[in-house]
Amino acid sequence: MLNVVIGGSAGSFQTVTNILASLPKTFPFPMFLCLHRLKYVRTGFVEALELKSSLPIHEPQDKTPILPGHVYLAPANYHMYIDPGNTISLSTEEVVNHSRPSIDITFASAAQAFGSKCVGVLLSGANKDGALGIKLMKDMGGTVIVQSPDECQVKTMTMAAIKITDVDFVFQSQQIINYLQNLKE
Amino acid sequence: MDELFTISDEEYMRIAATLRTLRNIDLSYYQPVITKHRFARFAKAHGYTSTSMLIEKLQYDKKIADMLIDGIKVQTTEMFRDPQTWIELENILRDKLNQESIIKIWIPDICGDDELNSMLVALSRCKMLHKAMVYATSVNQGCISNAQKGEIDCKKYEASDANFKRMNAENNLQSYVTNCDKSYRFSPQLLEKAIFIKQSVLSDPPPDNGFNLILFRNRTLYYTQMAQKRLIESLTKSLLTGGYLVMGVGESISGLEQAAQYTQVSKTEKIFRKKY
Repeated sequence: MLNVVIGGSAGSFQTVTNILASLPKTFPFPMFLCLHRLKYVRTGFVEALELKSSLPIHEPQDKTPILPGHVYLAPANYHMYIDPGNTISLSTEEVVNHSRPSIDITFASAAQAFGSKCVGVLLSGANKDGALGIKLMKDMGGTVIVQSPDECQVKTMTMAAIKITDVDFVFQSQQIINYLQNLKE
Repeated sequence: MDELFTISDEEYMRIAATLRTLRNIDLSYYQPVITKHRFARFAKAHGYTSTSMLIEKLQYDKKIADMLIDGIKVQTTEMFRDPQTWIELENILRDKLNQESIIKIWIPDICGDDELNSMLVALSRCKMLHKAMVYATSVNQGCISNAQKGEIDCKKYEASDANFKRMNAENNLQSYVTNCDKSYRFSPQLLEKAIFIKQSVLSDPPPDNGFNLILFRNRTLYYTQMAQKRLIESLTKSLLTGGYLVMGVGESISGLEQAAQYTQVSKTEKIFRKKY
């Protein structure tokens, strides 16, 4: 089964909302969202994303089983790992790239857990978190997509990824949506 | 920009076998996906370029093995993490546990002193220190020694103070620390109240029995599901009926057999009360 992993920071919220709004209820793959967020604000994020999404969105607890068609949002102040045993692991380890959750941690664990069965998407953001993770994803045989820096509100993150990885696609947000809508096993 | 240092499943097995052979360390209780990351972080910090190099160092240098094992333990992040938990915990201390003549509290598996220091401050604020017995345990002597020192670096202090303010505390954390040049020192008078014991939460008996409260936040994250069952079973046995088990907001006991013995007493926080 394919797995979709999306990372983003400053300027990515609207794109994520648009992606979720465009995917059908029958979207057959699990999706993981690692978005930089304020560590003190534990509530409201899922509710905001759920407004337009037809897919169920969860902030997983540690060891939550992964189900197809469900969206898992990294909780505030926890790193989110994808476990090869098809569960999610949380951790309170040190911040990575000044971030907890760190996109590199989620991407790297997804790359190792899913290999070629992984689609990684990196969106707008203000630091380099996610760049090394998406490189590993590509190295492990996954498909990697970076939002076009021209379209990003803040392009640091996407530029860093493009600089070190021969990414599969540099897409505008509508192209990302089209790609995900047509995603097949 | 460099690459991420990663450890494959096969390499992890090799490290586990090496540690078992050389140091009789059993990694099977630890959550592999996180432990692999801890090892990779360690290897990178020490300038190793491959897992083979790490294994080679382990075989020839006892100190490296000790440091690697110590590095598995994840330090707590800051004092009063998740301030809402502490607000509710202080209410429990004042409204429920204050009726007891002695309150036994256990903070197992300490790593870093944040949880212990926070509990001591909470007891002080509730004017209950005089009747509290606070056990802080760890299998790792280094973790105990660090907690006993009570040293808090500036960055952690700032985050802790911000949490404290979010609890609507009438005073700031400054009242409980001394400013020492580049760090802070937690109140030795409060730390004196803690009872430090070297103990493995997985394999040793609890330091006492009949606890009123066990603070075990964000510790089960680093163990396998099998080990989690064993941990919660052991903690449940040592907790009084009507006693409280406090876990991290990202943790859950819902899949465990012991869950039936608890009622979650908070809507949002992982505060459980053992049923009568």
